[in-house]
Order: sequence, then C-alpha cells, then structure tokens
Amino acid sequence: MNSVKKRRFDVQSITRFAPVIGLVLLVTFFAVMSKGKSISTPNLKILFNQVVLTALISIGGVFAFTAGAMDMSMSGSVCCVAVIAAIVGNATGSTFVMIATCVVAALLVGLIKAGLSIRMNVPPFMITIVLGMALSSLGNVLLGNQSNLSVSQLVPSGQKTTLYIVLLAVFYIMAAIIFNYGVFGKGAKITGGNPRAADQTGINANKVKLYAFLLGAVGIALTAIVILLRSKSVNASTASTVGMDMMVAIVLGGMPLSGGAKSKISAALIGAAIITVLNNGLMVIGVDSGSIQLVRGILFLIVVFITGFSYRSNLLPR
Amino acid sequence: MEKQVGEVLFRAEGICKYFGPTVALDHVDLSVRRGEIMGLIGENGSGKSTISSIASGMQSANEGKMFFKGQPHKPSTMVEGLRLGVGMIVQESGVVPGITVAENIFLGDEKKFRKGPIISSRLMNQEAAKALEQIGFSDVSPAMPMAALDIEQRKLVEVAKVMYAQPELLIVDETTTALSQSGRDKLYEVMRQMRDQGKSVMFISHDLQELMDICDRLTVLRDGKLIATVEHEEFDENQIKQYMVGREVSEHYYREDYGTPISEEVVLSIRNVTTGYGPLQNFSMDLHKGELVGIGGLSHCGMHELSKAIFGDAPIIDGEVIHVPTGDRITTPIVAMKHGLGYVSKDRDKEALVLSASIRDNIISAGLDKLKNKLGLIHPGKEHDYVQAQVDSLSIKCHNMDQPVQYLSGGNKQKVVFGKWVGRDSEILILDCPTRGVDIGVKAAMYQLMEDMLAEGKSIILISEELTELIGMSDRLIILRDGIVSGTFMRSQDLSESDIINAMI
Amino acid sequence: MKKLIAMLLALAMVLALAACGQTPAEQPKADAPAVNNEAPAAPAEDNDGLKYLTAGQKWPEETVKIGVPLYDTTDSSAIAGKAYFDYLSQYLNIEFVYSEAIASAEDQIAFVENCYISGCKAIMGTYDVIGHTMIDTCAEYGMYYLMGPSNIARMEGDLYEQYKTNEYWLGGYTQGDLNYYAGYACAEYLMEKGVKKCCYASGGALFGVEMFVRGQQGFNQAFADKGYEIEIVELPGFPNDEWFAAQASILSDPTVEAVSGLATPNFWAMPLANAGRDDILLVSGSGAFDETNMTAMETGVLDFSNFGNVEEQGMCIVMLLNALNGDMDLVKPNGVVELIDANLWVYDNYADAKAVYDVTSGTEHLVDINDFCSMIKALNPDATYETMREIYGETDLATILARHEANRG
Repeated sequence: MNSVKKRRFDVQSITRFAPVIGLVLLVTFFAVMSKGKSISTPNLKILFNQVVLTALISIGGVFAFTAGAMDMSMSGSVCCVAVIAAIVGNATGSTFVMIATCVVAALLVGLIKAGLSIRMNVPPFMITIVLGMALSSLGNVLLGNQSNLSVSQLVPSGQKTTLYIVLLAVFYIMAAIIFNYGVFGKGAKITGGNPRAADQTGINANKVKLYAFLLGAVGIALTAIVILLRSKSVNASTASTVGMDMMVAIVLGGMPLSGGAKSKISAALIGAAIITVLNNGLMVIGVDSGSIQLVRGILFLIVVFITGFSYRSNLLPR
Repeated sequence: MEKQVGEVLFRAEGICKYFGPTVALDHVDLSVRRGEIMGLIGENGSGKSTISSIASGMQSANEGKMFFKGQPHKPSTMVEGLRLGVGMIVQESGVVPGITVAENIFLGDEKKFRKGPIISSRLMNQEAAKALEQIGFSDVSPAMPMAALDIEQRKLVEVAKVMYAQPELLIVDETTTALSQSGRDKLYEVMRQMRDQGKSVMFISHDLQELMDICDRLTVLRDGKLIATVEHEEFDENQIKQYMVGREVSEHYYREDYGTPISEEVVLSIRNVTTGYGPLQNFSMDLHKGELVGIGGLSHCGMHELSKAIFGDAPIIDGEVIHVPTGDRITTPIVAMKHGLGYVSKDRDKEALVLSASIRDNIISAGLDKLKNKLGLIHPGKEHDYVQAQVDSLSIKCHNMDQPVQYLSGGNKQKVVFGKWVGRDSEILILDCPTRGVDIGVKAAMYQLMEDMLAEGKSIILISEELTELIGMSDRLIILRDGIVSGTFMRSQDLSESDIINAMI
Repeated sequence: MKKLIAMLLALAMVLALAACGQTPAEQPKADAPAVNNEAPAAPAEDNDGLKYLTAGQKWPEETVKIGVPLYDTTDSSAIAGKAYFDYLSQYLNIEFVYSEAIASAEDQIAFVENCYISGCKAIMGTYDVIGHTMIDTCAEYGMYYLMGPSNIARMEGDLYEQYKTNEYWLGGYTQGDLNYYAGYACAEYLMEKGVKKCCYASGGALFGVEMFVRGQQGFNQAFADKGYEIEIVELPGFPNDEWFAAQASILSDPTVEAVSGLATPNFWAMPLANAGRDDILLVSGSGAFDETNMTAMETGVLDFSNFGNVEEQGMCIVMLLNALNGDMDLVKPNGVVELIDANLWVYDNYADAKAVYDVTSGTEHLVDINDFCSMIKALNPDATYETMREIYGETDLATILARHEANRG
C-alpha cells in the first residue's frame, strides 16, 4: 500500500513539473546540438531580450484567463497603446511622458474591457475579439498615412537587457504574490473553475473581472513599453503576434486556456521561455525556417495530446 | 460446453485501479458462479461501480487479471464486453434521446436490417418488439422517439437492449434507483430468469434490503477492498452494515433530545416570499437562535428554490428575507455571508464545489474575507491552519489538502462543503439535502455536527427529501405542497411518518 | 506511469524531428572548407566556363552566412530570389538563413538576434518596416546591414544623413521607389496612349501599405508633372465581395479605357477576358517575371508591364563580399552609403519580355556567376565600383548576352 501511494505521487509530480522538465530538456538538447553555443553568454542575453515580451504579456494574460475571461484582444490592445504612447511621446519629446502614456492608456483599455464584459451578457472572449479588432484599427487610424512611426529620439541607444530583466522580475513577483496569496487570485481561480460555486461563496464576479482586466492591462502597458524600447518604432503590425504567442505560452506552461483552479502564474514564464528557447535554438542549430514551423506544430500537437490525456482521466467515473 | 450450475463463470484476481492519487480498488478478488445473483454492496466510493465497469470493459484495471468462462477476460470497450457475454446496465443513462426506441436497441447494429442500401425500419421494429417482450415490457412501441419516454421507460429500453445480446453475465449497476416498484419487479424478473437459465447476475446497489431480498450471495466492499462474502443463509443486516462501515452502527444517529426549549430570539425572518422560479408562494417563517427548522415535501414543492431565495441566490419577486439582529435585507449571497449565513447546495458538484480545485482552495473560498489583511493578501500559514482545522475536525479523508476534490468520494466532498461554512463560523446554515448520496458513516458525522452547532446557539434550516431525517433532526418541521405550507409539526417522539406524508401529497 | 512514458516518447519525437530537420542544413557547412573535395552539386555549365573561380572549389574559404527576413515566404519574388541565391551558392561559399513569415517589428528584431547567434555576417533587408532600427540592431551585434531592392523601409532625408557614415550600413537599393517609378511608368504609358478615363486599383494603399502608397503616388505624380487631364476611378482594397461588385461595375462602364495598378494581372486578366473588354488596356506596375504575367502578355490581355528583377539582390552580396575582404572602396566609394535606384524592366510587347523571361527562368541569368565574380576585387583585381553599377544598371538584353559571351571567351 505504501509503495503504491509513493509511486502515484511521483507520476503526479512529474505531470505537474512537465513544463519545467520540458524546458530543461529543450535547453540541454540545444546546448548539446550547438556545442554550447546556445548557452553562451551572448545567446543567453539574446534569449532574455526575446523572452521578456512574451513573458510580460502572458503574465498579464494569466489573470484574465484564470478568471475564465479569455482575452483575445491582447495584440490589438498592445498595438493601440504603443501607437498612442508613441504619438504622445513624439509630441511632447519626453521619454517619461511616453512611458506614462503607455500605463494610462493600457489601464483605460483594461477598464473598457472590464466595463463591457460586466455590462454585457456575452462571453468575454467574444467581446474581446471584437474589441481587439477595434483597437488595432484605432491604432491604424491614429498612425494615418505614416506606415512606420519612429520614436528613436526618445529611446537611448544601447543594450537594455538589465532593464528588461528588472521589469520582468518585479512584475512576476508582484503577480505571483497577488495570484497565490491574494484574495483576488484565489477568487479568480474559483470563478474560473465554477462560476456558480463562486456566486454561492460570495465571490464578487464583477470585481474579479475588473481586477483581472486591470492586471492584464499592466501586462499590456509593460509589453508596449518594451516594444517601444526594443523596436524604437510602431506600425500597424506592432504586437500582431503577441496575443497568439501568449496563448501558446500559457498552454505550453501547463495551464488550461479555460482557466480555473489549475491555473498557475509560472505557466506564463515557463511557457514563454519554452517558445523562445525553441525558436532560437532551432535557428542556432541551423534548422531552416520551413522545418522550424513543422517542429513547432508537432510540439503543440503533443502538448494538446498530453492535456487531452489528463482531461480524459479526470472524467472517468469513480 | 456443459453449463454447470455453481461453476465459476467470472473471476477477478488482484484487481487494482487508481484515479490520480486515489486508490479505487486495492487487490480485489471476486467471483460469480453460474445460476446465482451475486450482490455487491458498499458505501459510496467503496469501488463497487469501478469493479463492475472494469468487468464490462468500460474502463481497464491498472493491475490484476480477469477470467470469464475460464478464458482470460480483458475487454477494451463495453461493446467488446457484450460480445464476449458480459452485459451491463449502467448507473447513468446510456441511451440516445434523439432517435427511436428500436434504433436505440440496435444502435451500432443496424446493418442486420439492411435491405439493399436501406435499413428496414419495419424489420427493426419487429425485432425490437421481441426484445422488449422478452423482458416483459410492452408499454412502449419500438417506433416511439426515445425523448417521449420517461426515465423509467428509458432504463427499461436499456435493459431490453442489453438482454437482446443474450449475455451470460448481466451486471446491474444501481439501476433500480431510477425505477418504480413495477419497473423494479420487471428487472427482478429478468434477473431471476437469468439465474434460472444457468447464467449469472452481478447486482450492485446501496439498498441493503433490496439486495438481501434478491441475491443469493453478497459481497461487501469498503474503501476499494473486499471485506466479506456472505451466503444467503448467513444474511444478517446488522452484520453486513458493520462490514460496510467497518464498525458497529448505532440505530440512533439522529438527535435524541426532546422538549429542549427554543430561544425566543429570532435571527432570520422570512416574510411572504414568492420566488421567481418554482411554485413557492407567500412563504413566511421565523428562525430562532439555536433552532433547527426542517422543510420537506415532494421534490418539486418549491423547497429547493426557497433555500436559494433565503441565501439571496435566487430571485424573489415578492416578500423579503430579514436578518433580524441587524434588520438588514438579505439580497445577495455576499450580503448573506456578511450576516453569517451559509448555504449548502443540493447540487454539490455543480454549485457547491469547484471540482478541479483542491480541498484547500474550496474550503478557503468562503473564508477569503475573514482571512485577508489590509492589502488583500492571505498569509499562507494562517490559510493552512484554517483549512487543516476543518480537515481535522470533519475528518476529511485525503492525502493532503492540495488534492483536487474531484477524486474524493461523495461523503468526503460533502464534508469539504461543510468545511467551507463551518470554517467561516456561519451563524445560520441553510442545508439543502446535505446527506444526499452520502453513506451512513458520513451521515452520522453530519448529524452530530448539526447537533453541535445547535448547542452553540447556531441556527439551521434543513431542507430534505428524506422523511426520517427531517423527523429525527427538526425542532419544527414545515411541509410544503405545490409551493404552499400544508403542515407544521413540532418536535415530538410521537410524530408519525403517515401524518407528514398526508401533508405532502 | 503511462503518462510519463507518453511524455518521454513525445519529447523523443520532437528531438528526433529536430535532428532530422537539422542534418541537411548542416551538411553544406561541413563540406564547405574541404579543399579538392568531390565536385559538390555539379555546376550547370562546363567547368571551363568559370572565369574567376576554380571548378569544384567554393570561394571564400570560410562560409559567409546572410540572414534574409521575409514577410511572405510564398511571395513569388521571394521564391525567385531564393532560386537565384541557390544558383550562386553552387559556386560560392555563401549560405542564406531565411526567416519565417515576419509579422511585426518584434519578430524582426528577434530574427536579427537569432541570425547573429547562428553566425550570420550580415542581414539583407527585404521587409524592413523599421529600417534605421535594423541598422542599430545589426550594429549592436556587429553585423552588416544591406537593403535589397524589394526592401520597403525608407532611408532618405534626415535619416539618410544620420546613418550614411554608419560602419555597418553598406547601402543597397532605395526602397519602395521601385514602386513609385513603376506607378510613374504606368501613367506615362497611359498618357502616350491618350487615355482619358482609367481605373486605378490601389490595393493596400487603403491600409497604408508602403508599396501601394508609393505606387499610387508615382502614378498620380506623372500626370501632375505633365499637367495631363485624366479621370481616375479608384478601386481600393483587395478582392472580396464588395471589391468584385465594384470591379463588375467598372467593367460595364463603356467609357473606361484602361485599368492600372500594381501587379494587376492576378485580379484583372480573367475578369477582363470574361467581360469581353479587349478594348480596355491593362497596365501593370511592378510585376514579377513569372508565368501569370507572361501568359497575360502573350494573350494580349496585359498591354504594358514593368518588372522588378530579383537578381538585382545579388548586388548586396557583391557589396558584402567586398566589404568582408576589406575593399570598402567598392562599397562606399566616397565613404558614405550610396543610394541606388532599383531598375525597372519596362515592356509594352510580349516578344521583348519573353526574351528576358526565358533567360531568367532558364539556366542562364542576367547576372551570371562570371559577371558576379568580376565585381569582387579579391577575385578580379580589376573590379571597380563603377563596373558593379554598370552591370547592375544594364537593362538591355542584347548587351547582357554579349557580355556573357565575352566572359566565356
């Protein structure tokens, strides 16, 4: 009996740590294949630069997704916020104003999302799909005839890896505390897991939605800031892949997109790291672009297979 | 092969089954002989449904072997199981409502009625009529759509479907709960016929009386282990009950006090409440401190809607619920909780729990407002103590508090629900069918808990469909009929079930 | 246990796949430095035809990797470009790292970083919405940045002044002005034909897509420059129900004499033929030397077209190889980046266009390997900046073919 218990526990913890194990294996694999090049100091720096964007947006996304509010407007939100901030920044000539605008605009966008999904009796993902389109069109309109709006005067040159790491670390720690020890984080998991139960347990679903979208907005603001610092310009395609990357990261990080009790904040970080290491590693070892897509496609299929696996066993009768 | 009555038809050896960290079956050996009805009994979560679903091919075992007619038996689907001769009538309905009775009976087997490219529904209906007749069920026509049938009729169609395949081992899993007496009689008849033909039946139920009447032999499971096998002549109700719960069961698990004075202090006043859903009309009642008010009736009498309305979780179109000490109206669950109300829903899995969440998260969910600090954060140590206190005092069976509640048995799940409300020190508990689907041991613990709460001056509204429970526990019992109060009974030893039933119907 | 095995198996599969994809890409690198190896991928023509290279021995000794960001990997000019680079890499020790379809500036910067770590010496821009940022990013990693003729980033005016002496920017083609001139040339043709009413399909100009915006600007500017009066019916956007409806109404308007726009044959050749409007001139700017265009011209549906030539991207490689050998005078003769206009190959008849198409789509190339090597100082000491400009500036087929003959002789 004792031995049986112990073995079950091991398998469970392996499932729980599968994303981390996957990440470690991936890193090891690329390190061996590239004879250490993939873990050389310059590449680690590059990896940090690249992981920051996806990680920031995913941390923001985890909150909304946990509460069962699939936010499909992340790309549009970031694009719109970045465009507004770039315009305001260029008009005032102040880097600080540009960054502040990112935060204010993002919080406004978050409030709009929360307001709409509280007011309207429509699933949040539908609201946010439409809103996302509206926001990226707004960004487009604001850009007007300029296909590309540069902010290079406002961004000091040079590597900003340290700044990115600090931003990411602070946001992650803050998010992890709110998520794991905050009333909001616990409420979001319950709401996402079973809205009826949350109602009957006195958890205010509207408050949960509001906080979820506002915390998501912080992720949007930080992402917009990093994009402005990194590409020193905005255009209609800015952040267009961010939303998809976020969802892939969340799934690869081991969290269901439907949110609920199995949500975890670490999924954002680990998932983002997996995608980044994978894309970077495949290029470093010289896989051509067509095969990169294939490998990535297969990896996602496997993840879906494994998730399906665990869903199925959960549905079996007792 | 010569069919020898008494010869072992089905044998399972060392069957183990795990669901996540939960051990559902732990090296179970059991056998069924030709020409017998073998009963399988146990509390919820004892593993009786699991072993039957393994035998029928619905799921597979993690360890162990099975033999059927002397051959190794390892069906991978129920269809394969049936082909090998093991048919099961399942607990949950296995019929498709969108098609006809005949189509259901021959689902997946329509080909044999092919005439050229088309399926002859005339031939199919003829054959289906034979199948129904075979089990003595002629109330429905094979051409009727399944959706037009009630639950009992659907169950019987399922019986016909399984019997048409002429299984040698029939497994009946908790089927009788959905059937009326005449339906049960039909099923018993089918089972007896099987026995008389030298075939076998494995009959699973939690109704001990029923099993003792029908079965030739009884196997008792507890916590996934085989406890005992009893031959018909050795049947002894108390002995078997003891096997089931693992200890002596006292007859008296209800309250035993009578004439305890009830405080004059009113804590909750329900005034002229008419609910938006259900038949409840103009319901009024005062709940006193330390009082348990039972509310009973037939299941559609409006009492379940009432329970939600009191907690602010269902719309009230007229009337109000007042928390008397403060004079505040209860309008939403949040307001209700602020005034010390707690609510245990009848629908445990859908409303009271987040199944995918851990025991910890479920218990803590109702206590967030009590535990948070000014920053809206909860100290992990305090949280652990809060949950541990409930796990200990309710003796919730689990490996650790981070185990998802979906793997717990019904009784343990209900303990978690209680833990939510007891943990936050609720003053007034509204319990809607709290002992539904819960086994004897847990029931007794819950009654004890209620008694303790009353002694502490807390008040309880108990809504139940079980008369004995209402009579045994209530200080005052209100009976509803079609949404209107049809009788009020005070606690008394002389209270008879028939008086109450008269008020109900 | 099962779950664990499934997971390990899944991982093994991924790794195996990654390994599969990796092998073929790695192989040429392993072969590359080997001297007197068995002739790798036998060149299409006789070994003796090589004027500056030793047959079977690739130059330079060390592989030069070049990153090429693409925004649409299925784009016909991207595919044609790849084919031409494959041709060059049969003789030269150069390797190209193509991106997946790039959708945003962030993706593009990540691609540049990944190119750096996989050992690229330069990035050849084709889709650079963020031109100058690309120079900064490349400079950060010590890689050269070149602009290919299909590059759409603008590097003019102040930006040009700011960057023209940047060590890592080698120059290349001026961007979208190819499209500007394409539009301009279309308008010139219409004026020559005396067209009074014309439909202009402005495509992505509606969404501010640079190439379409510039194409339309060039088109309108040509009329303005000449003070020519013409009625232009604009049809913006890309085909959808609404677009087709508008197209049908244009085709039923008897006063419309011509249809123009960038790469029009794709969306207009069939509808024009179906509507029986042989009278409408189809005038296309900035097409590709591909079958669609050739067929449209052969059948007489397409009356006028100008083409960009993907082989011109080879100039970036010439410049890079010279720069890597330290011959900067062949790259930036005056110490600053020179902006070079991409050529337009302009045709109003099928025969001339076909002659060029036959060359570029066959084994010949407008700039073949001998032409190519003649511009690299390390291979041909006589090479000058001017030779390069001359070779890439030539658009007369007869002259080009004569040059090939001379090279072989």
